[in-house]
Amino acid sequence: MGNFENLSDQELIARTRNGSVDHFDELVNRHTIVVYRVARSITGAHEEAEDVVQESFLRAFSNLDKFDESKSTFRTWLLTIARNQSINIIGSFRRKALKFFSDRSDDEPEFEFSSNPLSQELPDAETQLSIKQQFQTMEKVLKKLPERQRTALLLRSQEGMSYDEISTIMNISVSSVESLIFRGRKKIIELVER
Amino acid sequence: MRHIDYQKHISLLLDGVLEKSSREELLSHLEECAECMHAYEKMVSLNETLEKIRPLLPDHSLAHKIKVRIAAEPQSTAAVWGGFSFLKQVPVWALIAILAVGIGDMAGKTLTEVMSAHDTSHNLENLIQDHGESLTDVVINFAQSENGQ
Repeated sequence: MGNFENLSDQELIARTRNGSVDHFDELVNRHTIVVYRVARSITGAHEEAEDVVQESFLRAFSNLDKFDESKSTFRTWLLTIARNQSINIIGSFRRKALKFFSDRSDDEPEFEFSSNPLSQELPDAETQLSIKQQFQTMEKVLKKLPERQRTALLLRSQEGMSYDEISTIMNISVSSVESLIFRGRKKIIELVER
Repeated sequence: MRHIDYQKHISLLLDGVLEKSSREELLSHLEECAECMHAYEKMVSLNETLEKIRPLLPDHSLAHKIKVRIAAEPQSTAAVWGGFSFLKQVPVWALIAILAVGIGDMAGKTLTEVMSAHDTSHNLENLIQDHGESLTDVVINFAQSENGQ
């Protein structure tokens, strides 16, 4: 496989359209993590998120001729597919049945410390415990948010996406994105203060 | 404006999308409103926490699994079209017109006449005698003979 790191997503797509699967593999390398994060945020389960990532890339590959560069970036298009796949999974009968018999996915940690603050020089064990509790609380509270609020908020806060990108991924207006993010923040604050 | 409207502006301010005039109005309001100031501090703190936590990463093998599945997939429509991309430049109406002219060219011709453009025409003449019948007549006659009619 060649070294395609210097090529833009658009160039990789053009080469893939001309029949080079290797160029699509580079797109997989670039976007697997972000697609997984979004899928994990929505489904809340590791296995389901990995299934979503695989299906999303397969769909993107099969439908590459339908991707319109003038309307969105490849990442935005891919995340739109991933979000739809995730919603299908969480709404599926199979998912509900599995959750009925095993609630394991709700107990799985969904998040981790970005820079592992516990390993940094912290003053004492009490502070470490406080930070850990703060993150655990946040994790629980995020799970209580409606899917749309959680997705919009996490795409903004964690992936640094613009309101325009989020509106494309979620197929809603920019003003709806503003509203979802605001309501998500407000709801979290209320839940934490309870 | 109501407190809730100012608090919505706080959310936009944190994301860097609040217009300048609204920003100045909000900052003035925050100086004199304890309720909105409290909301501002809470939202700043929440934002910092959300930025510090990251969803867990996928397994290292995930990208490899995807590549294996893609390699096993039939080539995408896009890739298949890659070799015939020039056809995509031809409008659909033009393709229909070409097809129509092609079919129209055969109208009223005998079977031999239709086939006479090919090198095999002289062989065909030996197999099917030309009685001046059209292609449709030949097909109907063949079907009738097959049905014993």
